[in-house]
Amino acid sequence: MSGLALFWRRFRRNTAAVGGLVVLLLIVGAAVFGPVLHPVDPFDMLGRPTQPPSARFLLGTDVSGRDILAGLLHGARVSLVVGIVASLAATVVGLLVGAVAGYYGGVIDNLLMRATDFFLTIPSFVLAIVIVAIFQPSIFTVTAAIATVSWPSVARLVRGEFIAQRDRDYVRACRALGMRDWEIILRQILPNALPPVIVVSSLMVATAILTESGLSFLGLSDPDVVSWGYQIGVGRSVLRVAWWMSAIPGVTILVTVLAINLVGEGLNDALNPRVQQR
Amino acid sequence: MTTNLTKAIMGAAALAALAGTAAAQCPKTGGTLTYLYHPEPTALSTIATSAVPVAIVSTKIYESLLTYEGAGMTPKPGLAESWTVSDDQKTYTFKLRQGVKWHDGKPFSADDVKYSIEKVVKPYTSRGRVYFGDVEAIETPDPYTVVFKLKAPVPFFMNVFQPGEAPILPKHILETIDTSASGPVRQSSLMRQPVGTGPFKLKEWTRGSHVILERNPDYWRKGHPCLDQVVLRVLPDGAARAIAMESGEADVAPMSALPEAEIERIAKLPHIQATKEGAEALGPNMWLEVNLRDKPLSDVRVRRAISMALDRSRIVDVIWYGQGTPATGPIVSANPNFYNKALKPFVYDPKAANRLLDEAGYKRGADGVRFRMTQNFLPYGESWVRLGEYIRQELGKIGIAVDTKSLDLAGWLKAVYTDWDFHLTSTFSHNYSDPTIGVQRTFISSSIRKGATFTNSMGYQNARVDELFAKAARETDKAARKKQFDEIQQILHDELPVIFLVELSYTSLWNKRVHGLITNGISMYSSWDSVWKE
Repeated sequence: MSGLALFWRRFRRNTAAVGGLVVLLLIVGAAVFGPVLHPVDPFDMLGRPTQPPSARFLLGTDVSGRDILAGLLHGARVSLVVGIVASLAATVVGLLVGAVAGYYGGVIDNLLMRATDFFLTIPSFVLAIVIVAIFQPSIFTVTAAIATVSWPSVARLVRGEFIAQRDRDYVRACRALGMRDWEIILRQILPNALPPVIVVSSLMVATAILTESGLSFLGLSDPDVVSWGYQIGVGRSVLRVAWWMSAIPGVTILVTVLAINLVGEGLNDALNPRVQQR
Repeated sequence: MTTNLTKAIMGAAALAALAGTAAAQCPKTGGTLTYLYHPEPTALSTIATSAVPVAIVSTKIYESLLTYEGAGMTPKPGLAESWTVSDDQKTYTFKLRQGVKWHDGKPFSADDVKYSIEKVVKPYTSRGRVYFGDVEAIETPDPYTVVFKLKAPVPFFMNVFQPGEAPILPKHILETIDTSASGPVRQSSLMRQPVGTGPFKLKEWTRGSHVILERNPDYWRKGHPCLDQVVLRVLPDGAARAIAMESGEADVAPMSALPEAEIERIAKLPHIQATKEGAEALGPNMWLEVNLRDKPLSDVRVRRAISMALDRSRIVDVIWYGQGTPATGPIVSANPNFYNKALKPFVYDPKAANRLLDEAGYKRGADGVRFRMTQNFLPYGESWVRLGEYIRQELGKIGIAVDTKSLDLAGWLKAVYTDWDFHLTSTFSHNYSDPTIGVQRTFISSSIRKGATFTNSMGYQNARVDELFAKAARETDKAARKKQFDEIQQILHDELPVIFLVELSYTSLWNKRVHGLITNGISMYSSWDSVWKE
């Protein structure tokens, strides 16, 4: 049986994870095809403001008479892209830092881990706010800020894996064969250290989406793009008269984050089978 | 007989004066009035900037020579007890009140007036040169007399001495400040720790949270102010401001301090009073300030295209919830004396805008974009963000890609009025009672001055406009003056140095337990010394 099929069989055992995956695929589908199927510009003033859901506006209009459904679909793109790019970037940085620290140990390890500690001691959301406020909100700075506050946990994890692996026989054999350090790190140890990292970074996507929503709720988002957090922020000022305006994107965020978490757990079951059988 | 008659007259005068004082006495003293505004003031003196949040708070602390009564702004005594105007209208003599003290206990005198006007108000405030440009000399024959000698009659000179416009600052502190440049003055301690003569003095300013002003026990108007404290609470969230008014936690939301979406709902509550009165002398006019120094915005066809791409009625109806009127030029249509009725409304016609840009040579690229630019927006709350979104959207449709920059008030003032580092920004300006006061400063070339806020940030230069404004400032013939302003309005309407958008209207709301707020055409920029609370 191929590795992939085995992986799928293990993943399938967790029904909640499969459910999460289905929901997630729906959301990704909406993000990819939504703006094509519902070609409405989310910033266009189309009707009277604060309309409740109706046949013409399936989810109603916001404070400026803009179609909430269109905002939700475009926001899905932004939220997912920011979430995925930020956690990819954080994973890469975390992998590099963690691998180097764990493999070499000693002074290098000390230096890198103290730097990591520095980031871990500051509440990550507050740090993200500061970064975005300093560099002015744009889609790029928001993504960079989220990546900046997310990599330390990956670095910690990877370092642990590398410490556990670096004195194994196969690593020693590689050294004896005269392999270069970077080859050992990338080709030999990394594949063995990767499964838990995949789980952590998939869960990080959910956190990144939440952080992005939090930032844009506070008005620290790119003023030129719609995101779910921004939609909640806009609706908040009329919460008393039009509660659904905030509730719709709010529930969307909830469902998305939940789905990603479920998938992450499924990945964990599939990639780290021993942990599950514990 | 003569003596008796004189006595009788004097007696009657004394009685009348007494009656006057009795009527003006506080029905109740004590209490704290809390008002809301956002953004937070950047300073506590209008010398730094005449931005609304600054003007509201600082006019309780600093005073000027006069106070005003009624929507028509009838001059009444302030720091000056009485005044005379010479027949040729070129000499104004003010008799100052005796025994007035600064908040730090030092006595107030004519030297303070001369020093403030000459060293600070005239050179560094946005309208200072308009007010005092024709002043030849300020003389102080004795400590309680100030004489303004004018080169030529200034038709609006009695309107000048408003607390926010010509505040009198303490000479003994100004002397310790470098007044040779605007920077040190705007950074000086007087902007943060004000020492005024007004009914309230600063007790505490916690940045990002509140400003507490407390009663000045030595205030010259005996028995005033009525209130013990005036507190400004800075609540950045519009919904939170609305709730604070609803729950009675706050007493006053001046000058559309609530989001337009909430004003209607809050105004209907039984304990709330709402009015558009009390701001007659302001006349807020909202426009997009355009940096004319660079292409393509220096091209009038591009500005006309931008103007045509924006639907002003829509902006009023959707973003400002009907609180305003589409603008046609620099002077608001509510101005009975100077508005040019011949101006045509700006039409909304995106197709024509597209054609105009094609003609101007800005062809669409492969991505449909003709050119890119950035916009800023006035950081006064949600409506301005919504306006920025709308502008970006509509300009996108005619092929102008707009990136929005979000700055706080201090950063925005610096970018627009000090660094001139912007392409397009929303802002508004007050017309005031006379176009020479309120309108001229934005459009004459001599107010292209770095650092002075709400001036000619565009870099607009038109010799004819300069000439007409200069003439109108001294024109004593009303009909001729009207003609000059008519021509100015037509030129600005055609050349669009700014994209005129909406004549705003202010709604102020207060809890019905507060009384005496609306007193004149600048009620929220007045001292509130007779405001009282049940």
